[in-house]
Amino acid sequence: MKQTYSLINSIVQANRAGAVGTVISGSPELCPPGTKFVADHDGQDLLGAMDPDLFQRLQEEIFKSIKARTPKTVEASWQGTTIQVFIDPIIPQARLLILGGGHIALPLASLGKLVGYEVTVIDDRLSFANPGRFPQVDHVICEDFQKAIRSQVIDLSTYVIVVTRGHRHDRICLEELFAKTPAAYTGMIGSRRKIAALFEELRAGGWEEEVLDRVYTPIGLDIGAQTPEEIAVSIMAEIIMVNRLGYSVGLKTKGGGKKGGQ
Amino acid sequence: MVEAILGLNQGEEAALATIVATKGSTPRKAGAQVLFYRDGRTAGTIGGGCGESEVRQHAFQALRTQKPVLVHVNLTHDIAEEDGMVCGGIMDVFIEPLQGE
Repeated sequence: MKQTYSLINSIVQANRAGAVGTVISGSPELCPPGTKFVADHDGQDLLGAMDPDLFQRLQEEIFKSIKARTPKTVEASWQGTTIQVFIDPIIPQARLLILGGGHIALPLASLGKLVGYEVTVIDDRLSFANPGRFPQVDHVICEDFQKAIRSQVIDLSTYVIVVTRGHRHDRICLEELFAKTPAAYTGMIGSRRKIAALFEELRAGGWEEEVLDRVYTPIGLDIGAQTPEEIAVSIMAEIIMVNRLGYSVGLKTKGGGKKGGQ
Repeated sequence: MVEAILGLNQGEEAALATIVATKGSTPRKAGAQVLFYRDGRTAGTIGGGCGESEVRQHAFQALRTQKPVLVHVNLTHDIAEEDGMVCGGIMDVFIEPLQGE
């Protein structure tokens, strides 16, 4: 029992994906109810309590469940009996990385915490990146954007929002992000005009269209947001949508034009 | 939930109930868990109300028999309605007895 839950805990603590499987009906001799596996994101059983052959048969469903981030009960025919296994994915903690500590960052950081994300705020100005300004967030980093982004782990549980004080810093952030592994979400705030100009520069700098197309900009869902607080809600709503549904019907696709808001 | 389970004292017994499937309208979906301690405390919830209290009885039964069990909870019957439960779904709940090591 302890070994099982310690393994699960180690995956959770390392913020990795995985899955726990439990036999909920099976054969008392071959595979009694309660038998478990603890799979890592590569689909390896770390526990070794389940017959490897049965585990092998479940592997495809395990990957599906991790990808869909949805628990499900599956059936497997094995050694002449039907075994039901409940597969429960271990979902890494979603992280919000806010680049720029200005007006939007304040309500955004609060909303991020409210919906359960780990929140990091980065700005190169101490007056905008200090724990006094963001008492509720997990990490406040005052450093040059380039350096700070390089030291961050960006993965498919990371949601990045580029809200720096200007186009020059936005560009630095985007280029650093493009050079790293893809995030679950990269959004950038800005008027269509700013976006068009910035994307023109990035194209001239040799960045491919498909890389640029990964950026959610104009950012957020179209709810007519005006104030920083409302805009933060619109951005967070888009992130929730991408997180839960895997796509957004935000300003980028609706009325925001395509690729840089043209 | 993992923390609660790892936090069980040596020899302390508890039953873990996990919703493994639902049909219709239920307060919580597959994956929701509740841990029933011997002394009546709980950690987590599978939706509360008489659905959870029905599961609690099975959980204590499982602690007595020390055998995991799959139970079918129907929230559509008359009693549920009398109690003002309007969810109207059904759920399968897997219950497993645990003991702190």
